[in-house]
Amino acid sequence: MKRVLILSCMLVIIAHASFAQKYFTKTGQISFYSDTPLEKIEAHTKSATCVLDGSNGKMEFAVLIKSFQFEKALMQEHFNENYMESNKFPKSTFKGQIDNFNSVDLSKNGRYNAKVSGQLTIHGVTKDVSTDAIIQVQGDKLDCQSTFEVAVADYGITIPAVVKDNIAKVVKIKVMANLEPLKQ
Amino acid sequence: MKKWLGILLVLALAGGVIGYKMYNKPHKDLSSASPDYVLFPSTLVNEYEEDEDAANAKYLDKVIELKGKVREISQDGTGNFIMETGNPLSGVQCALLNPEDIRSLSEGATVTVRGICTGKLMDVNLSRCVIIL
Repeated sequence: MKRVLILSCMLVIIAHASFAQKYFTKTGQISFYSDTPLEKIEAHTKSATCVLDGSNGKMEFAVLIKSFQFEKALMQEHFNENYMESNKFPKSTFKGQIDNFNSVDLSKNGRYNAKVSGQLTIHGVTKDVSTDAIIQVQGDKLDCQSTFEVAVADYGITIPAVVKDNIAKVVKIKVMANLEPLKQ
Repeated sequence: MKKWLGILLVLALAGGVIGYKMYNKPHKDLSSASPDYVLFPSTLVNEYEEDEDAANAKYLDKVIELKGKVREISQDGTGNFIMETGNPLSGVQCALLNPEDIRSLSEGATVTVRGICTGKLMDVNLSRCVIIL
């Protein structure tokens, strides 16, 4: 009887471990928007990586700064060379977790509101951030979306006086990632 | 006096035109731009695996032309595909300038692609990619 109990305990553990899936994408979409009365600027990338650990809600994002595409080539140049110094700081990352992971059931289809917090690194400067996100569970796929704001000055990015009215002090960032189970 | 005013006006106009042209400078057209490097996908990834900083110094912002096999095509409409490098952990991820061009690709087929190197995450990344026929 004891043996059966131990065996069934082990089975439960194994079943739980195999369910503890990692979710992943290499084609996460990140956009940012700088709106001022003088000028609206936006840039997009569709090549961000994101991984979410289904066992504990930890997540990581990484994006190459040079992958952001602007409508105007000159703006893209200035963004990379003058503001983000992307040769020196080629990547931006986020490392954090879903704080209310207990109320997100990845095994059940539905739309969940998630609180995400962690460390955001831009331009070599790391700051604590938190935001709301929506996770849509559809079968074994997770559709994640979030919008948050970043103050340019917080990350040591200096905007020259000549264009200070053209570039917003607070930039809106939109993230969309369709995560799929990582094949192991 | 009038003559000077005229010259000034012409200069100001020329400055304005040049400024406007610079502001609207087009992106490099990769379908006609000559590549800075013509490589096998494996060569590019190997150099990045060996020394990422050195590879970045050499390849960032450069026009890279790769010929190789398509490993994986992303079906999510983002226009991304991955080139085979023989290294299962790291390929070359190409983001097409026109995502609909993905329809001309099939997994396992050999293609020539031209793109701008943006660095390495898990894969080495190229942006603004065009397929060369």
